Amino acid sequence: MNIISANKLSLHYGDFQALRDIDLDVPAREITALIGPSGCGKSTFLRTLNRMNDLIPGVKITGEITYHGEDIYAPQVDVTALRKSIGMVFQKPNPFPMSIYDNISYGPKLHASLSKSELNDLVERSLHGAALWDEVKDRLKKSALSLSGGQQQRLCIARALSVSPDVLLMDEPTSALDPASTMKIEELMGQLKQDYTVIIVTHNMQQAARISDKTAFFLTGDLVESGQTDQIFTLPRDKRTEDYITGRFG
Amino acid sequence: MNARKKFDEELQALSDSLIEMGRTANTAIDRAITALLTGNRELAKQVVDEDELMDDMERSIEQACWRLLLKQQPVAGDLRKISTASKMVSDIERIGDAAADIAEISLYLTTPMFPEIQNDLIAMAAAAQDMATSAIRAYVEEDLELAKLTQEKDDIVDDYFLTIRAVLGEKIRTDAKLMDAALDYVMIIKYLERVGDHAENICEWVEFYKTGKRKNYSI
Repeated sequence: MNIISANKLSLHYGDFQALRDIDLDVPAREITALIGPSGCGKSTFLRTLNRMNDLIPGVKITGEITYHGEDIYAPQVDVTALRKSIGMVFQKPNPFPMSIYDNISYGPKLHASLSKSELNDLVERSLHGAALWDEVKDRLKKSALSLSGGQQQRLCIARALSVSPDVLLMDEPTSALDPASTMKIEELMGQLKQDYTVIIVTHNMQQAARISDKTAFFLTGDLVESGQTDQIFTLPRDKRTEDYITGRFG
Repeated sequence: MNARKKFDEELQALSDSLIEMGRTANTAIDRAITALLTGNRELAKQVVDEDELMDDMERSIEQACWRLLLKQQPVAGDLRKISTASKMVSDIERIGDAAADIAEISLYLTTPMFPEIQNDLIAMAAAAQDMATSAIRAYVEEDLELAKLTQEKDDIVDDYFLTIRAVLGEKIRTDAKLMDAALDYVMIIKYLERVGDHAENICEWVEFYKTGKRKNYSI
């Protein structure tokens, strides 16, 4: 079942067309990897999925993105609620300069009034969800900035999970991490897809091949090819895909 | 040098060594059959001695594949090319082994060829030899059509095997003194039949390289 579908999606930054007629279905509870050289539009596409591009002046979007069958760019859509359902994790870990506990509880407190014990449960559940609980359970009141880069990134994932999303957008979530932390995040993604839909932008071909179920290849604003990851990495249909993933350009 | 260009050169070198090894195996099987049919012991001995060369080639190609897997973490066509090479090399080496085994038997044959099997054996050897040559050519020329045609020829080799084996079985049943000689020829046709099988495997690897599928399964 597809949870998100882009239909003839185009995006302009002023006169510059960053995305051209993108048609892409994102299956629920799978990991979809978006790959392509810098400037190909993959991060732009990722950001259209929870309307992060709305914040940029001069952006014009045509076509449609549906989430559970509803157009997310329809006028009546509550963008805050949309971003709660479709959370985002960025390339560089960006914890708030506050305690580990407060990083997680901050979002839920905005959305609902919760008792102390409900908040405690939620913080623990979110940290478990991001495979961080065991490492931080004894220092929840310590500053989030005292964590390592890999832990900070998992904290950001925990923070995204704390508002009960069903889709997680990840923009190069491991590109600033060492191999051990990267492996932890990749393992985590494998667990997350049991409950969430994950869409990840990555420059690491091996990572896309390892963790994703579906892969979409973007080039200069076009979606060149998308399909099962195994197919894309063993027998791509389009020569441009083959050339990119085998390092012949880009 | 540009990293991709270097990788392309390494892939080309891998293909070149596989082609060279394929040609060496073809020559070995040609010579083994000639030695058998003409009783040329010198030639038979040469085939036996040169088998070691094929073993060295196999090791060096395997190592090249592992090195490329380790260093390049290949995908798509690169991955198919390297996996094909690492599997094909074993089949080529086995063709070399079969040639050496046939040559070795022909060195010690004491009984002349049974006239009843002579024509079929010559035809069987030619068919197996043709399969081996065509399989390597299909790889060199990346010719999927030739690979398919070559695979179909395996039935011909198998039919000869059954026909000749039946004649040799009959020999053994009628005259126990012919047992040893007949068994030698049974071994020879079994090796020829294996050459056909390995050639068929090579063709399947060509198919995998070109289509990503082998016998209807993929990576």
